[in-house]
Amino acid sequence: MPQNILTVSELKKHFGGVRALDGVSFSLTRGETHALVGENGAGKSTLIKTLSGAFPFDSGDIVLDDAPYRPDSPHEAKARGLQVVHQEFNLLNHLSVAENISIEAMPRTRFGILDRAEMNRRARAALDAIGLGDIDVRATVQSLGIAHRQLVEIARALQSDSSILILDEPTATLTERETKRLFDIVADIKSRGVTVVFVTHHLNEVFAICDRVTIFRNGKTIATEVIAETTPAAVVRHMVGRELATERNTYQNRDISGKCALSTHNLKVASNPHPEGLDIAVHYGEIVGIAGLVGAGRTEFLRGIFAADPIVSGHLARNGTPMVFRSPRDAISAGIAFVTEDRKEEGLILDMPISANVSLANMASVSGHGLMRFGLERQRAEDHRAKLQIKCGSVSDAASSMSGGNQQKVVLAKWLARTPEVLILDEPTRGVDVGAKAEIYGILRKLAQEGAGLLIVSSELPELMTLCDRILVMANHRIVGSVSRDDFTEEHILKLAYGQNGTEEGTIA
Amino acid sequence: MTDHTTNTPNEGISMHRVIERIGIHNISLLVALVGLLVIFGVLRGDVFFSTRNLLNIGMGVAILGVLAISQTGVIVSGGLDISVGSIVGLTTVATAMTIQATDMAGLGLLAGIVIGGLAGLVNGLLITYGRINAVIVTLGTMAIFRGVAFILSNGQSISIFNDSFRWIGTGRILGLPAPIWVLIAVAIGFYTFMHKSIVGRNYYAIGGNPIVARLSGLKIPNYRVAIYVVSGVMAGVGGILLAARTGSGQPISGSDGLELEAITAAFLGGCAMQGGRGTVVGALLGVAIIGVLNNGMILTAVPTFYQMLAKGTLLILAVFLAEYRLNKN
Repeated sequence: MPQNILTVSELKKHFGGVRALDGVSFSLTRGETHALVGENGAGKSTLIKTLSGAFPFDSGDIVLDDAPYRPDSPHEAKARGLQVVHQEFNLLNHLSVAENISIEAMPRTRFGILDRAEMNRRARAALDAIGLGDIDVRATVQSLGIAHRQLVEIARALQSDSSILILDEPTATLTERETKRLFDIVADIKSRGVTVVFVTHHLNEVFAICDRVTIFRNGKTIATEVIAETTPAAVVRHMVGRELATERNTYQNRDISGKCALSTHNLKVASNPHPEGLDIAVHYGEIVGIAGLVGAGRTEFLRGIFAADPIVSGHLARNGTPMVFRSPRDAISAGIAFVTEDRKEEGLILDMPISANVSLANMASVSGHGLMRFGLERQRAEDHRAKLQIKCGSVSDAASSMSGGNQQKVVLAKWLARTPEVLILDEPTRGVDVGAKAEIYGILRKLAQEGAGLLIVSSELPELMTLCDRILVMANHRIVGSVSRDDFTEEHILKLAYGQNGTEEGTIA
Repeated sequence: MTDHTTNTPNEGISMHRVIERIGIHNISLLVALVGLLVIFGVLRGDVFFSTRNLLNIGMGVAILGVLAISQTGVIVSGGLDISVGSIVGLTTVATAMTIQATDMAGLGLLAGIVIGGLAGLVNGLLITYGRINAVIVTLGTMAIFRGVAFILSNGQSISIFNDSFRWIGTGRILGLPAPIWVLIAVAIGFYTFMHKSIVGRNYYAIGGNPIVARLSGLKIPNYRVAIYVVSGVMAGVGGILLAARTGSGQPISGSDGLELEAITAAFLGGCAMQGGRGTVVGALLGVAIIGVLNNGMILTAVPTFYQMLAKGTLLILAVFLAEYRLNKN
């Protein structure tokens, strides 16, 4: 009989009128890998914050190591052996990797001065222990890619001896290869007897590495299942409380004979080391995906198209006409919209009402003679709320009050309000739950059917394979392959993505 | 028009809606204001509530009000303008010199507004295209503009004898002094601009998150420069009011902590250091609090030195409360 290390019973937590946790019960057995899944807003993040002592709970019981547990601070949680790697990064960007790893217990020399050599040595050991030999401990965190930052954060959490390690959506920012690496790390941690709690939106990951899964819906735990005895379809059913149509099969190949909506010609951004730049073409009605590893230069390329970052050389054309964009404003005027990777930093003004965020890129349509027409703005926001099934209290609530998936829909609404001819999306469903994801896919497809050209960067291959008519594979700032829908297989695309680095066996023909 | 789609339970709770409409922040300012009125009313009720004294308070805050409202615009955009006091001094000199040379009130007004606008343009260009921190730029130009005012006037006070110009500072309409009417006009204009216009909305967006604003198609440099020009023009209006009231252009005027009071009022009114927050009504309430406090301290014979102490404390307290509110969310 496995021993429970943590037992949570009937946990409740209210924020004003919002029942964030409304009866959460589950247990962790010692040394297991336990997944927590559920749509955004189902209560997973609140639970984690409660467990980590970020805020107290209203009622219920938690038993940790046979003793009652009611942490007042993150410090107390750590002292009791519970560590959390949060979804939002908690690294200090200007400090080095080593300084970040040692931040809680800086090594000192006999004179009480920081022992830099020892600090670097410990950091090196911590990184090597989880197979991160390629990260320089003296590099500043801001010089690292997002994926590496995530792994550094995990290395830091493992520094202190914890018996429970909670990973909050650790793979949201990782590519397949880095995710694989993370799984190896998790397996290693587990073999040391640490209980790992794994919060994710990706069921394939749950089924790849977890022993059990607990499903959340609307602040309640719906069920805990043993992975070996359940199926992804059953888990999804618990999550959404209904069956999801298997979208991929119903997808029709559309006739894409439309004109070229957007093309780039030797377009080179500052970070691209190749002088020849990139050539791509997106036709009206077509959804083109860009696959590749983190660091392949995909985001930078999109930002160059939208003039969010300057273009070094080359040019782009709309409807075959060469154009020069000096700022995002020019790109928007040319009918292009850009859903950025990071909705909190680059997509939404969190303090502003949802309605204001929706009209942000399209003020002319909610105003007259330079003055706002608030009734009209509200009406437009309500229209989008209905159309995109945005779940929020009121459109006059701050954008920060919504869950991630709904925030992403508001970002989409902002751009759909302009009825763009070309829509560029960077990781359109990162951190978005299964249900909302399917809805977003539906919106994007409809847009393409209505004639818009879409260019999507995503680190989730299934996403691109579901959505796209054509997938371009990028590696090291080059297009290394173009795969049409009939030839979509993960293996084929991944081989292209890795091939250029020479890290995979065999070569690409 | 009723709205059936919202989930907010708002039936019957009209008091709650009234509070929401006015804003919990503005209500706390009103409470503070009433508190001050009660205190000074008890201490010097005989003088304090006299028409004469109330008009005094109004006159005292007219210039401050104009500056606090435009400062709110600057802070909402994510900036700060601490050179406004010096611009007031410079524009009193420019206005007085113009009127002395031409004896035309209209040209005097024009001079004050144009010189104020130019001073603001210098600030805006340095901050936007020189990429220098707004506090540093306006700290520098605070000294520069004051210096220019001394150089132009040779350090002397320049008298104004033009009666139609003087009327702006001393005349009355419907019993209210002209400067108060100017403040009312500026307040209505700014309220419309900040809260009802596209451009005003865009300033909130830029202050709220400049990256998002840029990616949504706003030309941030233009907006940045413009708000400092507006701030300069409003300081010019303040300079005109001051010159008209005192009948002179003095390089030293506006140097007695005018920018401190304007910034304090803006923060009391709900501005946040990082921008994107603040209201015109809040700033006006902040101005009223400062006006009553100034007047009350004089009536109750608080020594000048202690008044300075109180003003500095109030600024820090206002910013502290603003940040505290933000962090609480």
